[in-house]
Amino acid sequence: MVFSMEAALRLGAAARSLFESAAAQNSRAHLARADGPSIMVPKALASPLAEVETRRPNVGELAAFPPADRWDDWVEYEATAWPKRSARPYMLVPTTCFNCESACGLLAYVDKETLEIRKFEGNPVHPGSRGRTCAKGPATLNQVYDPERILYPLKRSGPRGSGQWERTTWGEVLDTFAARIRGDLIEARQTDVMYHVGRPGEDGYMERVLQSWGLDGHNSHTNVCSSSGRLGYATWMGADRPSPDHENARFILLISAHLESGHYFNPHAQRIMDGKKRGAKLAVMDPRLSNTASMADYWLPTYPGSEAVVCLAMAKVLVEEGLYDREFVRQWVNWDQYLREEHAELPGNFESFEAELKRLYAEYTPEFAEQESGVPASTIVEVAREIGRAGHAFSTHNWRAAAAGNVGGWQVARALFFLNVLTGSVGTPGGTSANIWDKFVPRPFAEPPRQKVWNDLTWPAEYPLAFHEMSFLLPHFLKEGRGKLDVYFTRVYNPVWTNPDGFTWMEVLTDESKIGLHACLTPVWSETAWFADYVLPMGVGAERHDTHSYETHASQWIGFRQPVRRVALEKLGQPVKYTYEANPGEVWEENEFWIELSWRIDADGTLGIRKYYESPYRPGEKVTVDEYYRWMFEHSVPGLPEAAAKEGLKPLEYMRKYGVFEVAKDVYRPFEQPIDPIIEEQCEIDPVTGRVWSHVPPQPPMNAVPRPVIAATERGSPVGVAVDGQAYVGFPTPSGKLEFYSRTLKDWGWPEYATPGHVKSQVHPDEIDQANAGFALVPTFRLPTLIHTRSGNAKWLQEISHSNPVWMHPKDAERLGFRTDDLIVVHTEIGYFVGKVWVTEGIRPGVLACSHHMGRWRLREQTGGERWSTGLAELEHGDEAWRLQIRRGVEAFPSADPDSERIWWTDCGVHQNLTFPVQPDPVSGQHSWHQKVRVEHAGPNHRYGDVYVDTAKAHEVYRRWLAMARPGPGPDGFRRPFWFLRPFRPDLSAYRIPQPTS
Amino acid sequence: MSSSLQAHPSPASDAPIGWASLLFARAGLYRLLARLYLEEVDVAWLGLLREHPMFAPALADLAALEDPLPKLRAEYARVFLLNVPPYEAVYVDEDMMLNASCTQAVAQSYADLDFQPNPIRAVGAADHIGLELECMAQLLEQAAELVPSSEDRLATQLQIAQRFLSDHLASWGPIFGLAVAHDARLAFYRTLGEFTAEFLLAELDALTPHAAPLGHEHVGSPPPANPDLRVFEGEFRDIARYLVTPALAGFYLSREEMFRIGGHLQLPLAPVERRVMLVQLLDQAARYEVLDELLAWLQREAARVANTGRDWEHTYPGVAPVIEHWRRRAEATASGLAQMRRLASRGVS
Repeated sequence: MVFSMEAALRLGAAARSLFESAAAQNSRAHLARADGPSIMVPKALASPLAEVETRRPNVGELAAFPPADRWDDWVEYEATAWPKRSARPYMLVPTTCFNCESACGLLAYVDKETLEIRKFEGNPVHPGSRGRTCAKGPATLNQVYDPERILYPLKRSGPRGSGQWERTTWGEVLDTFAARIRGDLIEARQTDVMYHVGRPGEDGYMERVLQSWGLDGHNSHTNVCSSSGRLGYATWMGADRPSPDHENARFILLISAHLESGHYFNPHAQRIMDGKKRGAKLAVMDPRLSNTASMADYWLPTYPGSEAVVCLAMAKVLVEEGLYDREFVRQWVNWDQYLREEHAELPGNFESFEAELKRLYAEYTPEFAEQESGVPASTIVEVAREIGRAGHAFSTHNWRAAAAGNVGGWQVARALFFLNVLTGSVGTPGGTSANIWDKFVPRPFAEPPRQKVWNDLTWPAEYPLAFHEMSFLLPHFLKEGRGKLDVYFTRVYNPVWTNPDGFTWMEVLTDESKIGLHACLTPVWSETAWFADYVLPMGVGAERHDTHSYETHASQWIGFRQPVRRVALEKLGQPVKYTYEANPGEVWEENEFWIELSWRIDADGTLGIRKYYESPYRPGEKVTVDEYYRWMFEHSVPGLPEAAAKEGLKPLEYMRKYGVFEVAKDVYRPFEQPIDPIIEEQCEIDPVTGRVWSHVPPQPPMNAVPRPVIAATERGSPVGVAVDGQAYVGFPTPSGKLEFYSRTLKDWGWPEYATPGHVKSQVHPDEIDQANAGFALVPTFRLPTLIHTRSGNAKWLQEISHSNPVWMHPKDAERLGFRTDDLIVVHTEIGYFVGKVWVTEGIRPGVLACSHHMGRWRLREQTGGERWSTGLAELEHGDEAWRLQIRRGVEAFPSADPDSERIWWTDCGVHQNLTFPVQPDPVSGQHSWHQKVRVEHAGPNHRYGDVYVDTAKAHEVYRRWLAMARPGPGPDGFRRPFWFLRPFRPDLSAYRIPQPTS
Repeated sequence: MSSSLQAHPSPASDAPIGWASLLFARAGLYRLLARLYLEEVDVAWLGLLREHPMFAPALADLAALEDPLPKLRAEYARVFLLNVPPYEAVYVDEDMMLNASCTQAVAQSYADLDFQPNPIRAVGAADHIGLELECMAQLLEQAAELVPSSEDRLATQLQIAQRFLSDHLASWGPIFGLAVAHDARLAFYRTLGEFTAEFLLAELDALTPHAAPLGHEHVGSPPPANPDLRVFEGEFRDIARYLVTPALAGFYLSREEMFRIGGHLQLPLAPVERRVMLVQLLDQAARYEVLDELLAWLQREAARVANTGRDWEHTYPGVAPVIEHWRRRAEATASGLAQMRRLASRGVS
């Protein structure tokens, strides 16, 4: 090729004049728009034809968001017909994503001609997600049209776990379970029926169902997730979750990965970015360089378990340097109770508390924090000063992460929130609120009374302060003979895979003397479904109804998940009686399942159950799912009937149209509201504690969000707290204030932890034999594109992520001779797994990390697991030891979806959780996920994905951890502090341990 | 490859005003190239380029189309978003990560030179070729402004420009341009790639007389003195890593190229990370006994780049150091592959 420089220079000169004329044109355009938003286009980049304008899209044009008034009749060009412009008519139906917990709003594009759902995008009117989704939202489409999904109810035809299944009918399923449960209820075995849910995806529906049956049968996934986070927050403010206002913050401190994968990832991430755009600084504590940490102003790669120490060192800096909000602490912290009960010898004034504060935290020097965490003392001081400068605009979040990894993880959340308390950034714009202020749960019709039974399998005496059910210990409890289950429902719950010690789960799930009848309610196959008696296919996010609310920011909203084809059919004039009529195959929605089941349990009404399932509009007849929500939206959502009327709609129609309603906006500092004047007239203020008592019975709040309940006494109910002589609503804690001093922890056996402190982690460096290839393993982190085992049915997501290597720092790799992709054997206390190494500076030395998402397996070639995500495994069970070997990784397979033959990836990862013993925190009950491990190079007999576990040893480890607990009962013979939150809260009478009668 | 791009007047031989407009024209050329790498072609630019003898032939194959823009846009995405990443770090850092240390060095140079890349441009990293080209444009525009006033300051400014060019653009741009030219399916982008490579070398050649002679120390990312070819005796995954790393192999092996090889040898291949693709190719080739064909193809690729490098060193002897290390690496890769073929054939026999 020959170029002429002369010609080239002529081109350069011509280009230059074109740039100049474009710049001139653009600056004119800029001046002409001086009153509008300023769009600066620098001269070098101005396109000659630059034209910026915003207008409503024409038919067929792409638009950022289709305007809501055109959702019923929206036209887009068919992408596959390109370059031909072929118009397709769509109806856009809002629903809620059912992948992670954030409950982001989705818009389903339903083709009006074929009724096929073509895509999912964000719902622009949703206040939480604001039209945006992560990768998982659009992948809902994969889940709907997954050729691997289960379409019909199945019943096992061989022994449990043998993989022999036959199709059954829903009628047979309902009759079998109704008869069995009816028998249990008649014979007063209210704790023999258990409903065990992983991701509920709804608020309040199941509580009503189980309480209408009179059961204490709810079980959850919470103790493998957020128990410690919850206990840390609850001991401060009663509410057990934080609600940070990142958008308005000046400084954001995260002990989590909220820009990519933490709780409320998408709603929070966009607000963190908004905050950063406004100049907020971001600090992230994480031994792993998460995507979030990579975007932070300060990455604090703390050694696992040292986070509380670092927070307390920051607290010390705030106190020592006078960077805290003295007035806020004086008014809103129970320092006076602390002095009265712990230091009666000191003067009861705030100054002596301040002196005490300095004494209490004297040992938490930045140097001590550096020694524990590896983060330089100077950085800790610098961040503390930034926090002090941010003052009320300081938002924080800890969920899962360090709190879930370490014994004493609840002190991480408690120490972190201590920083909010000191800076007065509680409930402020840019600060951190309690979740109960930013969440709204509407009441359903006909609420059943609270159950009068207590389930010791879920709420055992050893863990009176657990948040919440000791779900992951269930198989050990059953092995010990603490009880048995007659009917066991698992729903969107996969303990064999998700929980630690999955082989023990398999042992118990296959033992019919321990679990009588097990139904797995799930849209897809899972490792747990394989061991059930019935596998009942339930709808994915676009095939069911739920109401949902989350504390995504300082407002309250409720989202309405809808079966989108059902809604589209109805709007097109084709009535649908049951959602399954609009769903593929015989896929049901659970709400209708529970109505049908409850109806059959008590067909004649003699058990007192049927009345809760009779229509509030058609007395005596069975309620429909439409009527259930219609009543709720008409009676229990303030402002909704009025907003609907403005548009000439009924409340249910409004929710069907928009999929969401914002109940309250900009909720800040509700604890400073004065108490109700009617109550104030007849109340009594305790002169010592400031507690306000009243005999006027408090009205049940319209918002049924679970909140702590302080039991009434002979003085009445506590309705608030007096600060400087003025009565305020205050906090839902025994003192009515933020509890620096937790009398509850003291009274229930943990006096040494009554004030914020730290607990030495099970993976503290003192516990690790580094010289013998010992490490702390961080196995808790999510990937932004996956969600536990719920996303194995999404081909797009599997294509993006399908490998979970073991992260290792280059120094460690060099020391031990590992290179990327080398096989590594990771030994835990009960077994080992064989993974692959990824050498990266993204993890601190001495620590390994492995994402928990991968390692899915199935035992049969064509069934029992999503072939997008599972490897074909072989399971061997010796006397006490189990072995799982992956025979083949992911492979292409023929199906109705041509993409299944285009699968190119083979890796399915390694299932590490099987090798983790249970490690319940003795206070919160949280499984402490981090593992003390030893590694070695793989030998000739090791294959990638191998897992080996000795379950006898696993039970020994369980016994050892159990012995660390300090069992109840607590004061007054209670099983649990009554004021603590408890899901499916029973009646007060059930809290007391029955006295033996002579 | 031959070129007549070397003819450059010098300040001394030209009238002051002519020299200024020459510098502005050259800056205009840098801005034009920047524009073409930063964004797809639009109507106005298409109009200009079509009129021009240099690009007109390259657009001839689109002449029959009523609107050639969609094709050009698709090609832009295919080449720069999917195949040949236009970031310096990919070529000079062994890690091949975006925003790596090399990117920091580029950003530092911008700060030192008071060049502020447009924040609206979402190119992801400071070392995008479009931004580096804009930086050069700014340096030459500043030089042009100095023409009537001070010859000393002008000389200093030209030295600064030469230094930025040799540190960054010219140290990787030619290899990048070569990869673009090799991968492009439309003549327009093929020409753009070829022209970029030649233009950068010609520019450096023209500016170097105004600065200190170019030594190896002036070249961004000096190469390893003797590449360790023992890697070719090892495992496929290590060989693949070497071959897909331009800083080691001396050339950029694109997905497009691997599809070409795979298609030719009838080996199935998925569009994934390049290293994984190459491991797949090597595995499959070994399984279906076409490993020698695969290695021969790769060897030819390395040799092609080495030959081009030799041509360039011949045409622009003054700037040979920026080319020499690429050429030497490509040669070493070619001989490593030849050695591997010998080993493999012995293994088979």
